[in-house]
This record gives sequence, C-alpha cells and structure tokens, in this order.
Amino acid sequence: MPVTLVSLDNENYVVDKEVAERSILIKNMLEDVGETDSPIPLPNVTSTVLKKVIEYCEHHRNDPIQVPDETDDPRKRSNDIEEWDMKFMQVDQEMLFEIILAANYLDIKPLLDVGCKTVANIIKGKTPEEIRKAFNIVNDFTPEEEAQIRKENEWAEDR
Amino acid sequence: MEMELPLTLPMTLMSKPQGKHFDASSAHSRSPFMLPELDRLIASHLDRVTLANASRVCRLWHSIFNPILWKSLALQHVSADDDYDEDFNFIMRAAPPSPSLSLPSSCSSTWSAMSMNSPPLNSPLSPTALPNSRLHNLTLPQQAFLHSSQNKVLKGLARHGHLVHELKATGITEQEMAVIAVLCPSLRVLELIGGRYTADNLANLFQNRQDSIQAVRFRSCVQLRDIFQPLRYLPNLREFELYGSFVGNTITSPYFFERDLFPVLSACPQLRSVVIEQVYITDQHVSQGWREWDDDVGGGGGGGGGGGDEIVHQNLDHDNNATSIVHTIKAPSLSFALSGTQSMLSAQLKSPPFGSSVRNNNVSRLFIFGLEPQPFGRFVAIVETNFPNLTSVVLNGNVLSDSILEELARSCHFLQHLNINSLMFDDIITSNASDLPINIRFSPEPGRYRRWACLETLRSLHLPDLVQPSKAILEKWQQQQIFTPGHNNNNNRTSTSQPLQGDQLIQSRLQQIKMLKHLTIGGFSLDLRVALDGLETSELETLQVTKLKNNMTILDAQWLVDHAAPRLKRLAVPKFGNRNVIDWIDDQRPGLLPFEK
Repeated sequence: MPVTLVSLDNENYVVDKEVAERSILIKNMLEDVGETDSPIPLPNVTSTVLKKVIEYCEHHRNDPIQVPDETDDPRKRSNDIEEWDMKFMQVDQEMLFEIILAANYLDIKPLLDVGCKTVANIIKGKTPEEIRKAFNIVNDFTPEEEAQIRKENEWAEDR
Repeated sequence: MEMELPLTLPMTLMSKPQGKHFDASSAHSRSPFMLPELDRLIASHLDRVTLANASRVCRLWHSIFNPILWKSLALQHVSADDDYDEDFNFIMRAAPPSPSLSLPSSCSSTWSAMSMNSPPLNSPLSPTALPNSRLHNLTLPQQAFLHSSQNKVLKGLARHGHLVHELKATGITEQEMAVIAVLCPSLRVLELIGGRYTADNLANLFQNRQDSIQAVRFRSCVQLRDIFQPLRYLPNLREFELYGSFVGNTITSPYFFERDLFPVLSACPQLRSVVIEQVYITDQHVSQGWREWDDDVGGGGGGGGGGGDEIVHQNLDHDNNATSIVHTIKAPSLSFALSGTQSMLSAQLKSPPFGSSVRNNNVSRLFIFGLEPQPFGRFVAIVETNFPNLTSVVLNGNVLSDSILEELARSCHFLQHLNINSLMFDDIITSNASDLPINIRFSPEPGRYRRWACLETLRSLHLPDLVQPSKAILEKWQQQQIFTPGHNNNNNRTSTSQPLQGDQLIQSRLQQIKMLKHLTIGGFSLDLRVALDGLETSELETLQVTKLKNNMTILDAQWLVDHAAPRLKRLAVPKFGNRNVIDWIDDQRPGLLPFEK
C-alpha cells in the first residue's frame, strides 16, 4: 500500500509503505494509526531534502532492519561506507547537513550514520585551519587561547 | 472504516530557524553541530588526534569536542614522575589509540542520559579562562606533585578533570589516584590496569567518588589485596570486573562469598554484573577450617557489613605468609582441581539488578568457572537460598561432585540449562561425610539415592569431560541401587550381580531427565552404549559426543540413531578414528551430522 508524504513546501510524494517505513518515525506512526489514506505531513523536511531521503530509502528498501548493538564500537565501522552511499552523499555541505537533520528527525538510523560518518571523514586528518576552511568557519580564538588549548590537549597527539 | 485521524508528527525542530543557506560564521544556523546527540555521533567516528584538532577550530567546536576528548581518558603512569620503582613495562595492554566512547551495555542508557545533562562547564566564550577551583581541594603536597608532574594527562586534569567520565589508568600510583579522586568529580567508569592496589588505596578514591562511580574494572593488575571491601563505598556501582590479575587468596578462601562478594552485592544495590575471570592466586595458604564458618554462617544469604573489617585483617595476615609464591593457573583443567587448596575462579552473576538485599528471585543465569569443590558447595548452599529461580547454570572448568550438582539441581526447580565441563559422579553417598559443614550436608536421608529437582525442566545438559568414578564409589552405588526402593531403574538388562560399569551412574541420571533435548557428553572412559542406554523414549534432539573410550563402530552408530536416540536431529561425534562411522551416518541419515565432515 502506498503512503503519501508531504514536505514542508507542500509537495506530495507517494512511496511504497516499506520504503516509508525505513523511517522509524513514520513506521511507528503507521502502526499507531493503522491503515490510512491520509497524507503524512513532514513539516521539518523540504521537498529537495525529502526527495533525497526517499531516494536513499528506495535503494535500501530491502536492507535488514539494523539491530542496535550497544557493544558495537562505532570507531571500528567508521570508514566503511558503501559505494552507493558514498556517491549518494556527494552533495554540497548544506544538503549533507539537511540530510543528517532529516534522518535524525525521521529516525532513519543507517542514513544518520552514513551522514555523520561523511562529516567525520571531512574532519579527519585535517589541521584546525583546514577544518575551518572545509566548513567555512571563522576562528574566534585569540592566538594565545589557541596555543593554550593546543598545549592542554597535546597529550592526545602522543602515541 | 474511514477514519480521519489528524496525523501530527513531533516537531522537534520546528522552532529552529529554517536557515536556507548554510552559513557557518553565523552560528551554524542549520547544521548537525547544533544538536548534542549528533555531535556525539559525529565525534564517535573521530580519533583522539582529530578530536584535539577539532577542539581548536573555534569556540563552538571547542565546547563540542573538548568534553568528548576528555570524557574518556587513558592515563598512563610516567615513571619519571617519581622514584616509584615498579616495572610496568611488562603490561603490554597498551591503551587503545583513541578513547572509546562505548559504554558498558548495562549502563549505557543511563550514562548517555546523564551525559546529555552534563553542563557545558567550558563556556564557548571563555574556553581558556577557567581556573579550576577543584585545584584548591588538593593538599599542598598534591598540588606540588601535580605541578612538577611530567604527565600531561594528569596535569590536564586540573582544568579538565570535571569532563572525565571514563578513566583507564595504567599502573598509577597512590599519589596519582588521590589526585584523580579530587579532580574527577564526574568519574563513572574506572579501569585500573597494572599496578598494585590494596583496600587502603582504593578506599580514599571510592569514598571521594562514591556517588559518581558506576563501574570498576581491574585488568592485569600486579597485585590486588582486599579490593572487595572498598567496593562497598560505591552505592551506585553497576558493574565490577576483575580480569587477568594477581590477587591475594581472598577468592579461593571459603570466606569469599560470605564475606567478600555478598557484602558487596548488599552494599551495591545497582550491581548488575560481576565478572571475575583469569585471576591468579598469589597465595596458597587457604587452610581455613570449615568449622569456623559453620559457626557464623547460620543466617544464610545476606551477610551484612558487620563482620567485614575483622575478616579483612584475617586475610591480610594470610597474605603476609606467602605472597611471594605465584601460582599461575592458565586454564581450567583437571590438574589443579584435585589439589584442593587453590584454584582459579571466575564467577559471573549476570542478572537484572540485584535487590536491596542479596536475595533475588529474578536472577536467571549463573556462570561459575574454575571453582574448587568445597567453596562451591558453600556457594550452592547460598545459591539455593538466594537464587531459587535460576534457569541456566554454566559450570565450566569446575570439577564437581555429584552431590553438589545434585543439590544445585534440587534447589533450582526451574533449571533448563546445565553446563558442566568436568564432573565426577563420585559423591553420591559420601555427601553426608563429616568433612563437610553441616549446612551443606545435602541428604536428609544419608545414603539414599536422591532425585534432581529439575528432572522435569532440564532441557540442556553439557558434560563434555566426565571422570570415571572410583571402584569404591561404584560399589557403594551398586549397593545403594539394590537397597533403594522405588528407584526407577527400568533397565533390567544390567543384572546387579555383574560388575558395574561407571557409566551406569550417568546412565541412571540421564534416564531420569525426561525433557532432555540437547546433550553433550564425553569422557576418556565413557562407553556410549552404556551411558545412553535406556533413552529410547527421550526427546533428545541434539547430541554432541566429545570423546569416548573406544572408537565408534557402525553397530554403535546404528544402535544410536535407530534405537537409543530415534528423534535425533543433530549429531556430532569426534572425527578422529570415526571416519567410517561418519560416512555411514551421512549415508543413512543425511543432514544429521554437521555439513563439514
């Protein structure tokens, strides 16, 4: 049975139920409400982002539901982004952030993970200055402050 | 059927400005960095170096990533700091390259909830202008020590100690521990690696941090003495682990459960997991008489804090006797089990939270590892009192006597799974012998054959390493069989006039377990045809044979699948020497054996 999703800017998207249910938020809601033809408003997601999210859910419609494993160390999985996901995440930063926020809101854990990994990969291996450039961030530290922080956290760089 | 339901979704972000364009300089109007849970998720993919770099990017990022960097900390003793002459180099358990943010499973939800609430003490506006008032709580010598320390991490605690939630401390000294006690008010998980600790060292730290500490782990410690006593200061303790360390004789002493473990369980109502594993005993002087604690056990169960101090001193005395002898017992095996004076122990009580007292009807799994028979007997008596609803018992690496096992089985009416690595069916009659304390004399009727309580519920029995009983035992047992009326020995093929085989002991036990579905059995003197005789009517579905006296023959196999265990769905037999049997079974009953031959 198809489900109609409505974006913030009132665009309607008709998707299969199993695709929509990749979002735990929607899944739980459909379970609570039962069979319904009513469109589901998603007031936090714009149509451009929703389109992207639906694209992800379509592609992953048959994935096994992720079982949360508390013992799983996220660090161990950090770089293993699937190729399709990697391509999917090749968007500008604004879109990347919007996808992460939408995934968080819609409760799509695998998408949220991939998004955060992508952000982490941007940060990794960069100096503070390079990070600032990558994210267009203004350094609001005085040189003294930055030096002091560097000294305090110097131990982290020791092997 | 038309139901117009207003579909409303939670609008967690609705109040946020819908910034159309990402503009980092204007406070990240719409970026993941404004949600703490997303910060943590992103940070969880970052290593320590990256976290340190990220914390220098800007004030906002400092407020996000600096606490995460300090949250989980590895502190290593720097030997240049003092003339502490310990050689910690042999502890190769290096700290992980990055601080792990993973929390113990039993506590994680609470911790993440708590960490959500941790106030951003480092204001984004003044990340560096933060004199830590806690510094003044240090004594002057401590301040001087900290000031002169070469240890960057330790020094950093002066400013960032409040951020530390999880500390892995390798080989730290008493002095360093005292500093940690003052400077890390939020310490929740303490892992002590290497080093020597006594009750006194720990008492100060634990008393200082009694509200915050939720997990304590000792790993690869050089020497530990009486560490259980100070644990009682930690009312919020949820997890305790003692792994791969050298300890005094506390653990093997018959006092252990009564005076060390159970008081801790009583004092720490939140405790969910106790793991004691790969512990090496540095002292073999454990000749405490049973008589002594016959006198003071009486009440059973709880064991309040009352007598605690007295006992600790007793144990200290014993430690002083023979601490230099180090016995390392690497793996559970029969060799040490019969020596009777020392052994390795690993006890794990995994359960829903312990109640305010030790008694707990909810504990359903019990795991004991490498415990010598006598303390085990005592332990079973305690288990009987306190954990009547056990459904699963794993006793790997223990050499147990039948009577102890029987008592366990008799006490636990709901037992479904029993796993015993080594078992001697040697004690059916001797359990009323005078060398056992009165309160663990099991049989109300000495010399009588006793039924297991869990006969109706036991589904899984794991006996991979059976030990042949002695002749004397067999003789006694045989007599008992003759004189015990009502014993359902329906296997009349064995005339009592014939010499009795040891396997008939296990046979008679197995025959009584009505619901048995999964069985592992083996022993170098085991005759399968005797042991499994009389099981025709059983429900046995899985059978794993670990070892046998003789190789199996085709006739054995035929007897097994057609006669002894007709409902068998899975079978595993030793490969060595049984190749033709395996081929035969594969031919006759394809699918019965595992795929790989």
